[in-house]
Amino acid sequence: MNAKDHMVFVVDDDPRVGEALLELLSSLDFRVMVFGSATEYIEFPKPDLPTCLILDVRLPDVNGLDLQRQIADRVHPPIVFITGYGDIPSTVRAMKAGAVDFLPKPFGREQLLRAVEEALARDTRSRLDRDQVNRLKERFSHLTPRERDVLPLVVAGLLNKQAASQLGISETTLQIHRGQIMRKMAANSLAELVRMAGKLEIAIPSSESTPL
Amino acid sequence: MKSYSNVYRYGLVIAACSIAVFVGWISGAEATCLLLGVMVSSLYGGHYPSLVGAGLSVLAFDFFFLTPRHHFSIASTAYPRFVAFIAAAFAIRYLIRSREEKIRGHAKELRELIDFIPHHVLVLDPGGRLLEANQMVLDYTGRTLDQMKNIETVERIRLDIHPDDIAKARGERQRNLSAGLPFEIERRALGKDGEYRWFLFRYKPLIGADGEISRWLCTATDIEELKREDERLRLVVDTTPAFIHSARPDGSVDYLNQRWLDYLGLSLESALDRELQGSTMHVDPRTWAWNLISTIHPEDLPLFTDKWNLIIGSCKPGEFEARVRRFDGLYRRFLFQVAPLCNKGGSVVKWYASSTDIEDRKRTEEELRQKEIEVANQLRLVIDTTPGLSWTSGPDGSADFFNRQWLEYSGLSIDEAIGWGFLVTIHPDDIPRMMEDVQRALKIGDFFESECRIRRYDGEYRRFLFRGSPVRGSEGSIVKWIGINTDVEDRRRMEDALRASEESLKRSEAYLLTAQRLSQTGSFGCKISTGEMIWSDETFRIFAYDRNIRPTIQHILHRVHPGDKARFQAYVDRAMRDIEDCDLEYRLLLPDESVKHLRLVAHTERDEAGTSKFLGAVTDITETRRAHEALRRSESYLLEGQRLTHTGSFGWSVPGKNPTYLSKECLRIFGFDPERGMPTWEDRLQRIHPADQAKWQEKIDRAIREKSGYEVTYRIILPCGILKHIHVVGHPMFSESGDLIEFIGTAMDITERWKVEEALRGSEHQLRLIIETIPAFVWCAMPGDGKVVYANQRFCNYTGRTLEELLEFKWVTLVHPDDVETTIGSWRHVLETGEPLEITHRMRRADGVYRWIQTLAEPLRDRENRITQWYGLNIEIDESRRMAEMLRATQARLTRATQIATVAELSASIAHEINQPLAAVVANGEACEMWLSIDPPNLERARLAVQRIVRDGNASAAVIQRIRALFKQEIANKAPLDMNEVIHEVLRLVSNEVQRKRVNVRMELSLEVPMTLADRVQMQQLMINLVNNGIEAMDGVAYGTKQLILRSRSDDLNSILIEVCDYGSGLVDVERVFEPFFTTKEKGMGMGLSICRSIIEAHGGSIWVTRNKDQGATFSFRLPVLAEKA
Repeated sequence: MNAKDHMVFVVDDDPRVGEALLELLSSLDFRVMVFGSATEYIEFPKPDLPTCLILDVRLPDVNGLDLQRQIADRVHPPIVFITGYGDIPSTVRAMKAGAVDFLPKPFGREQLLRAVEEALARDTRSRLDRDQVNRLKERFSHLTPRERDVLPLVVAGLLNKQAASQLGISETTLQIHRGQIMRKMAANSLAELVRMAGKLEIAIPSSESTPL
Repeated sequence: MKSYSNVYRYGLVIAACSIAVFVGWISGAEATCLLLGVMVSSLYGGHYPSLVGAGLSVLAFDFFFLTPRHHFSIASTAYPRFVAFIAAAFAIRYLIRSREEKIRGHAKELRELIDFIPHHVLVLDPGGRLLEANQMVLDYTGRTLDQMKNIETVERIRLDIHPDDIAKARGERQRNLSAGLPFEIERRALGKDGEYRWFLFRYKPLIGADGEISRWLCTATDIEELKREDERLRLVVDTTPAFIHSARPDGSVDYLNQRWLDYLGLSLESALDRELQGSTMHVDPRTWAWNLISTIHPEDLPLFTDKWNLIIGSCKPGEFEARVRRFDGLYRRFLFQVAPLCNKGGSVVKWYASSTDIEDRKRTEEELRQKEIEVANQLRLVIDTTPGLSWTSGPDGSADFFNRQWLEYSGLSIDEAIGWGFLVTIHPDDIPRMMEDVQRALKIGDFFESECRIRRYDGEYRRFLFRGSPVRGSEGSIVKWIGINTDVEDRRRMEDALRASEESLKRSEAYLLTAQRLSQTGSFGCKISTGEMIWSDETFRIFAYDRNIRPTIQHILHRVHPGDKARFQAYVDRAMRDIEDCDLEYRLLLPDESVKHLRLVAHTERDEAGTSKFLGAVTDITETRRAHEALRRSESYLLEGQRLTHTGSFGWSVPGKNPTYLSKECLRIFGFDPERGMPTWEDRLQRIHPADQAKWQEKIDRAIREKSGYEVTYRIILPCGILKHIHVVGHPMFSESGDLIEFIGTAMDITERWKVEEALRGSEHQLRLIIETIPAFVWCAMPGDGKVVYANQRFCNYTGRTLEELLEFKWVTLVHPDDVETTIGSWRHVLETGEPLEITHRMRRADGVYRWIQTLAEPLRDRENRITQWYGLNIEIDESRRMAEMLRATQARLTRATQIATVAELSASIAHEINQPLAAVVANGEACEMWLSIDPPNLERARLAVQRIVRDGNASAAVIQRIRALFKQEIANKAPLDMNEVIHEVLRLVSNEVQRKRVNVRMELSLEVPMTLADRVQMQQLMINLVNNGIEAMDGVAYGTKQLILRSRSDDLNSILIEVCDYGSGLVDVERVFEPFFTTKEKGMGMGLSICRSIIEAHGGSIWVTRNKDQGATFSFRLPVLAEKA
């Protein structure tokens, strides 16, 4: 793995553990940053790279699990928990909240490596997804207001005639709009456009409720 | 004169020309010389001579000096032109001459005009030099114009003007001339007849075309007559005894009469001097001269100026007052009266003012007013200090004044009281009556008087006499009412009191009468000489006489019972003769045949006149007699009573022990025959039961010795063999000297009572029954040897022994062999000390089973606090004892369970403590491996990793050691321990930390903390934990406010309380802090407080934490006190 295209954050209040993890992960050719507390981690500006967060459950300021809950509603790197006192309830809680792994101390290299790689891969994927959505959003922003009106109707599977009458425009005009939409959104087919709309979370009116 | 002048001038011309020719001849400067000659002749010759001179010079020049070529000649052709030239010259000459003639004619006319003016006229040049003077001037002065012109101005003034006026005239003239404005001067001028006359010189400037003054025209008017008139007038004015001054229409003063000047001490000139001399004070100099203004009193000045200006402005007469300073500096008040003098057109030409010195008048007025005020004040003082409430009112009766006393009394203000406001102070019940009186008085207009109650400031109503009297004006109508209210409350009260006392006197008389009637005592007085008597009503009644008779001594004698008549007569005769007091009882025989017993008491008295009289009382003692009889009867009743109650009364004298009195019943009780007289002491002694004799004797002896009463119960045996219980109570009687002389008392036969007591004893048996049946074992034991004297039946039944067996110390055999020693020991102990007994021991039941018994015993003490009996109670406590055992076992199990739980918690925490470095070791190891496995191996980092492995490995070993140390102390080494000592030790241990963190440690250790049984090391560990905890809790607190308080005290009899109080961040969850792994600290394991709790609980104590009211938390623990050695 190339050291330039990822980042591993370690949050552990025990400097010995932090040191050791830095050493180990460095030897495995990861880029590592170690933090002594949750606050330090939160305040650190995150690079735009696939990242992984190795988080100790017991932290001086904010408990690791609480930190996980706090950042849950934001974009955050996948978390690998480590703990010196692994009790089942904490593990379950962490895993339910989407942790990649829960490693009891002491843990072996393979375990750690697997977890970190898994986390990075997961982050890479989610980043790709986010990029795609962003690209779609960018395309969507080029649509005219009228085209934005037309899009949900088309995606909902309405016939051109139906959609045109609903908007009070002629079928020909609607066809023009439709062509424009397909071109601007770079959709090769209606199916693709529907997928795009799904990713953009555009509300699609149900075809039954259409007054016809 | 003129011809001489012409000859002279022409001659001069000719001479000059001749000289010039001569000189020119000699010197050769012909032209120059001739020119000089022309100039000289022109200069001194006048018109014509100069012309002649010029012509001569030209001819001479032409003749003598010019070459013929240059001789003046006229060509023939030029003659006409020459002639024309000459003609033109003469024509011009003529024109000019005629013009001059004309002007000269005008001047002459002017001159004549001036001469014609009936005034002295002078024309002066701008410098003041005389140019012209008309004929009148010349006539008056007797000089010619030339003479006048030739005299220097200064000299002329000196000659012509009166010496007194020179200085002023000269100064003014010079000043005004230079000012260039018209002016006037009055001065005396000398006439040719050598007399001075007054002239008014009026100077007026003539302005030339260039705007400069070209001439001064001066007219002088002869004002001698006017002056004289003026002088006369002035004399009149000056001699008038008034202060007079006049002013110009603009108000500026121009004259003050002599009186004024004398008053002011100024001369007229200085008074009218308008110059402000060195003062910055602003005065309108137009109106008054400074010197005058400065004489006005400064306080009056503004008013004065205003008034004066007002009058001047109004053009009407007016007057005002002002104080004016006299020459000696005194200010006196003046009344200024000002009047204008108007011309026909109505405009003011002059102001005349006459002023009057009104100082004295003012002063008199002032004094008068002062006196009036004084009188008024005095009057007010009199009114206000008059000890009455006075007021005045209008003719309609509405009040308009109240004096201070009135207002103070009522507490009203004058504003509240005036009008009809004062009515609020009148008692509401009195208002109608008072108003009626007032209305009537108003109607008839006469003095009135009313009485009413007036409310005082404090709400108390007092009665007042309300008097009003009218004040009549000069025409006789009422203008005012003046009134005074007098406080008659006290007088009225006195009157009431008098009236009440009169009434009471009357009443007491009535009482007396009633008393006489009730006591059936009549009183009488008797004049011995006449035998006249005065009887009271009761006396009449007693003697049964009609009240209308005049009682005499004969009346009394008449009623005497025939049986007593002789005795009474003798007694009365003797008393009358010897005039002595009498007191006798006799009987009356009344007309209705009834007999009355009467007691007559009389006392003689001698008055100033020497006449003697008897004052006496007669009492109907019939009833008394009757009562006496009744008494005698009741005595016999008493005797009967004594007999019935078996109570006899007695008395015996101490000296001979002989009875002084023995009632019949007493004799009867003791079995003596009343007929045989009093029994002797020995007789009575014999009757006493032999066993009681000593007791009786002792009591009597003591009573005599101590002079006190006695009370004794003893038995007597009558001769017939009857036994009686007697209760005797004796009271000592003392002589006046305090010696014991007699005992009197009662002897009661209580044989019956004795019997009742016997019955009571029976009921005691009942009580015993109860004791037998209660569900406990009751017993009694004797003090001393502890011999059981009683045990209830239940006890016997339980043990299966008889009472006798129990009483013979057999109870000991019932006690469990293990408990015998302690039980007997305790019993002996309480027998010796008298303390209550409380022991538990096992005792064998009848079926041979030992059961737990609690034995309680209490001593019964007599009055001397000696133990008379032990009462004991045994209760079977086997069941409750068993329950307690079970409870203890459960608790032990619980404790064990808790310990196990604690161990589990501990192991978890140990795991964490060790896993932490272990994780580091593993990670470092792996890293090391990685560094070594790469090509080429990174030995540097591998070494670093290995170093860390070693370090962390050691750390884990240290952890394990620490934990082992922790558990080692599990085996507690308990010993008596002083917690204060432990606290001091701990503070020494943590002193570094305390200083580093600048914590202020305060110790509030009680000196009377009892010892506790505890493990010193564990206690230290506990205290270190709590102290460190407190210090760490205050990490976030500002220096200076970090305070840790350590307290120790004895909590109650059985425990001590230690508190560690910090002022830190406090606690969120006081319940969970002692749970393992609960921590709020960065590096805490969450075990500290958990271990603390374990330690405390192992010592049988308890630990808890509370939030402080203000800040921080307090950890407290309680340890049991080391039990005293039994």
